[in-house]
Amino acid sequence: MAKVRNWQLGRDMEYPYVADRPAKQFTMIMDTNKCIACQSCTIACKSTWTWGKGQEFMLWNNIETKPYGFYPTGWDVNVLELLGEQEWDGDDVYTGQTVFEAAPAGERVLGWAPAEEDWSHPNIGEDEPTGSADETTYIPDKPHSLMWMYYLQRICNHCTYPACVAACPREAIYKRPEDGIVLVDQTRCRGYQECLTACPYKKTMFNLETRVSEKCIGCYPKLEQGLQTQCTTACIGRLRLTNYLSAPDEVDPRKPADFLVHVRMIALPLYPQLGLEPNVYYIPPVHVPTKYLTQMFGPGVERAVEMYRNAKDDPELLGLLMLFGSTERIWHTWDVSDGVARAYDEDGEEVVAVPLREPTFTRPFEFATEVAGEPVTGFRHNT
Amino acid sequence: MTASCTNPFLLAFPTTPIERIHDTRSDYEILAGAAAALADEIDEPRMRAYWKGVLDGDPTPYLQRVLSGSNATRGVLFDDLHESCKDGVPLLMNARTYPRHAGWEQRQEDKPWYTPTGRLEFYRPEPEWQAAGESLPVWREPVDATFYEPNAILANRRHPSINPRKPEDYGVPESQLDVETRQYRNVVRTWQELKLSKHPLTEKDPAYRFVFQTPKYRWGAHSTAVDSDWIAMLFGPFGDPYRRDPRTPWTGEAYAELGPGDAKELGVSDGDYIWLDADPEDRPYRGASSDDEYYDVARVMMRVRTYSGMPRGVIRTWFNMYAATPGTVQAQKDDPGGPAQNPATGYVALFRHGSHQSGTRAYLRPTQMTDSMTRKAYFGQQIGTGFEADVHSPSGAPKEGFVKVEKAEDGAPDGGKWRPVELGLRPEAPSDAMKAYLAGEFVSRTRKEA
Amino acid sequence: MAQAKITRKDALLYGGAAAGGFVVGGAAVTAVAVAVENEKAPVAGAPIVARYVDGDLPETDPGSDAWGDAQPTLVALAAQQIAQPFLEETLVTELDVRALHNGSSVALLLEWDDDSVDDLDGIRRYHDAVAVQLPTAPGAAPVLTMGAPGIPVHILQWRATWQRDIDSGGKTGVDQIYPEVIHDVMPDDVLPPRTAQLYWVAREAGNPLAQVRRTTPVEEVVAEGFGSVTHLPKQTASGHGVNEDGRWRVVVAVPSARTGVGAPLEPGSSWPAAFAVWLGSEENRGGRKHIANWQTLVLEAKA
Ligand code: SF4
Ligand code: SF4
Repeated sequence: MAKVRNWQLGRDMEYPYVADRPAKQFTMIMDTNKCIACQSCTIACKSTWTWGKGQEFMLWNNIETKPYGFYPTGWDVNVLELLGEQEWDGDDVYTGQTVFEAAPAGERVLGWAPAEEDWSHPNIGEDEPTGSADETTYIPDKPHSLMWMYYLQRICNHCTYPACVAACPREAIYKRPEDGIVLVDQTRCRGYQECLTACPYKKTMFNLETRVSEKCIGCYPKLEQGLQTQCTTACIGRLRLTNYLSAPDEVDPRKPADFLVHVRMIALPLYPQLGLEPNVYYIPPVHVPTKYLTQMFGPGVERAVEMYRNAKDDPELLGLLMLFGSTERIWHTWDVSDGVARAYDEDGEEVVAVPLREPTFTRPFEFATEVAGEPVTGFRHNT
Repeated sequence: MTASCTNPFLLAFPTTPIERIHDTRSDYEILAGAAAALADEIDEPRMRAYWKGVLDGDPTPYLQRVLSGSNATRGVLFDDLHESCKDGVPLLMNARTYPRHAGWEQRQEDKPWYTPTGRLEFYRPEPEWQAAGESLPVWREPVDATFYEPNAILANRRHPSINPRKPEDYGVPESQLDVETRQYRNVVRTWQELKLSKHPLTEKDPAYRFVFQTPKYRWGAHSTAVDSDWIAMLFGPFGDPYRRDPRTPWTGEAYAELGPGDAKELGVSDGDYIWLDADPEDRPYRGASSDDEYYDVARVMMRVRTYSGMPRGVIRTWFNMYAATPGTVQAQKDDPGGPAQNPATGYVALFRHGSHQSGTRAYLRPTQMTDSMTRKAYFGQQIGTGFEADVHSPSGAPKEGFVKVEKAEDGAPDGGKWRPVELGLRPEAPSDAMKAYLAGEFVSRTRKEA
Repeated sequence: MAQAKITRKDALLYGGAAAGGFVVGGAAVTAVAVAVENEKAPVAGAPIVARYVDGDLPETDPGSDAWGDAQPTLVALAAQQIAQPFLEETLVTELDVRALHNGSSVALLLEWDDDSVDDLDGIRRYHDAVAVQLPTAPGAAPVLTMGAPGIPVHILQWRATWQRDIDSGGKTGVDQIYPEVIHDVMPDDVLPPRTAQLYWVAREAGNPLAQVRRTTPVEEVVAEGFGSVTHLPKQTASGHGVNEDGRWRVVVAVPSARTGVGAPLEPGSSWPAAFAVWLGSEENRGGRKHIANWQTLVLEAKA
């Protein structure tokens, strides 16, 4: 066991390997408030990567309704239960145990292995709220204490301290030094499924035909061409951003992910207390009880929710959020001026421009043009 | 090519370089092929000429006609649109404003609304509307989906414009509440009266006490939510490509959503199978009897999902799943454990028995079928009166029923409860861990000392 | 013995003892060989003596009469608890081993009780297997950690999955695991075969575990420590396994020459040999296995 720094926990922790942060870290930011659970992302991913025989059940990207949705069944309830009481000292330091620190004798990680049936009903709990509509569906209070639900977008977190890597006795899983993407070496894996037990997010999966584990590859062939992932570009809600996160001591506020995660701290990690330093970050939903959100995203949720509620008066943040889903290209910096948000590539060239407020244009009623040398006239109507 | 009246963009899907899969044809190729065959059969060359573009492999003339004929796309050349879309750039619809705001020229300018007066009208003077008591917007109970007297107009006070022709005026006793009569029945009730009334089926058999709704699934038009294995797997809580529960019809399955309170009263659990029966007068079909050969093809069986969002007494089933047919029911009999797929046709049902439409039927509304109503034309800006498809015409979508429910089978294939219920992950019987999880109790925060 | 465990400490000790014993070892082993000649060996704890056979070995026939000539040795098994991840509980305690050789090959018959045949891999579904471990160089037994850096060991592993791959002609995938699976459109329905196969990444990348068309159920690997198993480019081992009446009977055979792998298994020599058994039904896989301490395998001199 080595001592590594986990900034999300505000402390050092035990990990089987010494820390070796990649040059830059692949990250995805999700604005949970905008998701409509259409599963376009899921299908974009599946039709690209997991169409093969033996991968029928496999969803590297999945959307689940919280709190009753799970893929696989019960994944987060189970790991939280295993870990027991999880304590934060104020907002900064996690004083409970991580899955590495709580590993039982003979194991490297505290984990559980999903039963094969747990991979069925991947959309269980869809749209299911808490509470009951037996008496009323009128919900006067905010956050909603009676009935609430929201959608959680899930891919592999390409963790800084992956449990899958820690548990693999073959060292068949590795983290790419250039972008921190975590991959299963398809020639080395011997199908022991230790990663399936170890990964608390349950994002390694066993291919039933090739008998080895597979997982989300962060669409690295697209990243290498400067493009965002399939789930990002297919997203109807424009709530995803594929980008790179700097190491915590090299934060650059001009970069979008650094700004959201480290400067504004509006985007929070998923179950940070597990200790993996996951690299997918979530803008928490604004209508859900704080206690539940704290359990899921750590102690920063109140501040993040507050900031999101005020985003309309915060052009820098609003502009950045508006740039989500507006281009397939990965962009590096942005600015907002005259009501327009602009994203730039590494050379400072503009990639895309998005108005903060959609303008309305009015056209004349009568219309005349020429098509293939012939005059065409008509009238314009809205209704 | 695609566009809609609310979306400002006009799109063409660029011609794919990939060959069509399997031996498939698009609709217009089928029509053109049939026309060509008929042309030869009856020696009528014009039938072939009509489809010349398709038969020559170039459908653009037809697309161009659509563009030239539509107000908001006139002046667009299909070839330009296609080229632009190949580069990923759609064209704009040529409406008055971008984005399009409905009613903009009526609200901002002096264009008339499509009514006799050119104004917004909230009073319908036509005799059909007066007879229906609907000259003013009124609340009517649904024809079937109500706990109370069907189709009654709710009015707590007398009002001169709510003076409909009553059943007696048509020679029908007011007490006649059979399923056909229910659909056009002008009786006015106060809430005090209505509240005490009962649906006629409940009067006969108190087991009939659920409003059954079959709305469109939010992510599917028509059957798209179940058209392919993956989508069906993601549709609802019973998806499984491996069909580990051998009873399931396919990679997903139809279900009825019940509130947990109702489920409990009925003694059904999440994941159980139920039978659902509507008015036996005409459903699942007229004169149905349980020893008919096709009774279990027509009577619907579904899984139950307990859904905390359902109000008391309401059951919902999504309206997008393929119905059982004689072939699919027979297939599951012949090959127990196999899918509900007709081996002869390949057709797949998402129901083991029946369909959501086993419990619903269409109703006609006279106020949608008048000859006097002034309305806009389907195409263009003309005003006319009476029938116009999709504008003033009955919508026969069968969406509602009043039903009773009976447990059919346990949720687990070998008896007992559905596995997620057993695991304590469902609202019906949450485990201690699930309760702690819902309350966010696994995490605690201690306040930092200053 | 049901709860026996071999710990890291034991492993280091056994390794050390074997190394220390090497100087006398040559003599000791010879003495054992002589002892076997002169009197019938006890069943348990005795060296495994490979009788010399003139002619073919029953390399793929666990039911051959030829095995009747070989003296079985009872080898004790225990849960692996040297390297993480551990196997928690010992559920099979005995492996019966016997051996034959003919100067050009060595064959072992391995038998253990297992009334559940596990020969498909799936999600939390693991296969039965057995392995024989031999040093690559003559001399003392290496530590019991599947070799160590610079000290490779030679391992022959028979897998029930591979046996079924062969017996069924490669029908060991999703259609067998879940016969009621629905495939709407699979890549090979619509793509040219070369492209469609790319969806089986590990298979296309040449991972030996990912293949289903194969000629031998026995994989030949070398290892230099836990987790370092390397598939040999040239596979020479053969074998066959059957499960009858709740007992696996598996033959594992390898050419004596061991070209490119290690010193030849010459008649008259003796070798440390270790064993491992996996019970698929008990989720044994990888390091979660039953292991035996180093035994002695004596190859009888030619008659
Ligand atoms: S989410 Fe799971 S699979 Fe992905 S890197 Fe982290 S531990 Fe590994
Ligand atoms: S595509 Fe976007 S909106 Fe749709 S489910 Fe995925 S994340 Fe949510």
